[in-house]
Amino acid sequence: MKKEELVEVITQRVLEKLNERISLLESSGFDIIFTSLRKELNKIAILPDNVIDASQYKEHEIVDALKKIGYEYKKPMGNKLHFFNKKTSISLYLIQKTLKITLMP
Amino acid sequence: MKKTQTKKVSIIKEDVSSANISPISYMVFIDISSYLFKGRGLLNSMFPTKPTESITKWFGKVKEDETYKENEEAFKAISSRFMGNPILKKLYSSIDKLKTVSTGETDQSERDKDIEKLLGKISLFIKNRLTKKERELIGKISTVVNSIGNNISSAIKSDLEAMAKAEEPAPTNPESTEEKPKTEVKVNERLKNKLRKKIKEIVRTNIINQHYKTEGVFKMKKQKDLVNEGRRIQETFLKKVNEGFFDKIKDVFRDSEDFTALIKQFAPLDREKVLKKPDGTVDVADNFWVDGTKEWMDADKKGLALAVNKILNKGILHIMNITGQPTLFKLERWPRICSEVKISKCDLVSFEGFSIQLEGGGKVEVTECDNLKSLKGLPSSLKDFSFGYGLFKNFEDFGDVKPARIVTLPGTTKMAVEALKASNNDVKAAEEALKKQTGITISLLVPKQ
Repeated sequence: MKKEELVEVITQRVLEKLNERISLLESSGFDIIFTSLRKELNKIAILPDNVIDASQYKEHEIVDALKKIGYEYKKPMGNKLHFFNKKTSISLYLIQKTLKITLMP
Repeated sequence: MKKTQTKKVSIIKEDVSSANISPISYMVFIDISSYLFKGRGLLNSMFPTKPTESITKWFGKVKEDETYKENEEAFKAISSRFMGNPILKKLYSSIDKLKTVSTGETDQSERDKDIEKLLGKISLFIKNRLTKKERELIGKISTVVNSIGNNISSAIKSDLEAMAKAEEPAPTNPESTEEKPKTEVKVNERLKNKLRKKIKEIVRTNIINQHYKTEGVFKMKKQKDLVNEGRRIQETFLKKVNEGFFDKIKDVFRDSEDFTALIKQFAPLDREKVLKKPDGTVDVADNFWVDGTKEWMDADKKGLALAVNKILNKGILHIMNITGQPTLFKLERWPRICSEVKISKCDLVSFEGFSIQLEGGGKVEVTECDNLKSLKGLPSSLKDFSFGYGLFKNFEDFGDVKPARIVTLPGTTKMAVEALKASNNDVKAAEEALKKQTGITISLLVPKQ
């Protein structure tokens, strides 16, 4: 591949990456949360009613992954742990027993 | 002066050792796994000059504790939750600042009070963020945790003593000290700091928040930042090309984390190949073929799967000729959403790891997959499952999956064979019997001659 072609390809990819980020900023749906979390934990699965099944991982691995994608631990709520993303103002719950993640209703 | 200093410190220490769970113990509790596994924790913010190894040493004895051994995973989870918490970090470093700040004589007692207050504040902050079980756990491990807490309070004490020694005034003429309003200056400085803090708070809550209340402004700012970031990456890249990119490719990767991630994600991908259908034409959105007999499938499964993830959106995914992958959905990053999955001639045993979201319930069609033993792993919302040829023997193997409709050849399943026998080869009667038995509409197809 020539230098010029490589520059063009990489530029294109940079733009794609930027668009992805912009859409992440603009939208905050469940699908996006799932996609970004899946980059960290590739075995997670979607269950009905916007539930993410992360039971294949250990609790600390899930917490680390949530932190990586911008969710900070807030407080326990019953058997759930409340995580909050400052940028998107979205709350998630991690159910400790089942290791499932739910969006705040 | 020195006496009052040690008195106050001893109060902190007493507080630590007398109560069942001392305030400092909560700080120890959340940092156990951080120091045992990561070698660094929040306490580093409180003792920035102390070598991490010596802090880690305090935690060494926890390893031998039975409660810890039994609940190692729980401790890891707790540490990872609190690790890097910005509020805690700030509170910890405030203690360090209070320890080391130079104060006048009258301020020293106040400083000790402040430290105590802060320790109480931190412990309350942590306590409120622990679950019931975790509070029970700290009770069980209190002896070890309290003894580490004693180490910490001793370290705070020695820091304060060292500071007190450094501050001890040289013997001077008492008359001359009367003339200088030393303490007043210090108090003023304290007031000034308080005022600065208040002003910052007002700016943050009133002015900045007002500015960002307009959502549009916020978005524009973010987008602008991203564009600038993109430009910066491009500029770095072009610069590097001119400097001899091909020779120094590794240096380029190291320069920007973002860029490295980008290259890692996309470098192995060859779009031309990935997008091609078996007939050579290219179809982006509606259909996608993954053919294991093609060279590129084996060459880079990860790159391919990424491409699928990116390209296919609500279309049909065809998977064929993949051998040696009994749980082929364990391949990284299959597409997120598609309406239909057609699998043929694969070594598929079960749908374990299947995390593709099927649009509107979706349809899965399996043909010539002789090893398929179970439908476990398929989404329970699946509407339509068809199974052509193969040796799928038991409908009982569905697990939680109850597709609305199943299409199968009569001779391929045990239940279907039995139902047909019972109904004297009356297909409709057999279908009805099967529906009663399983609660699923099962269409029995007549095999093509």
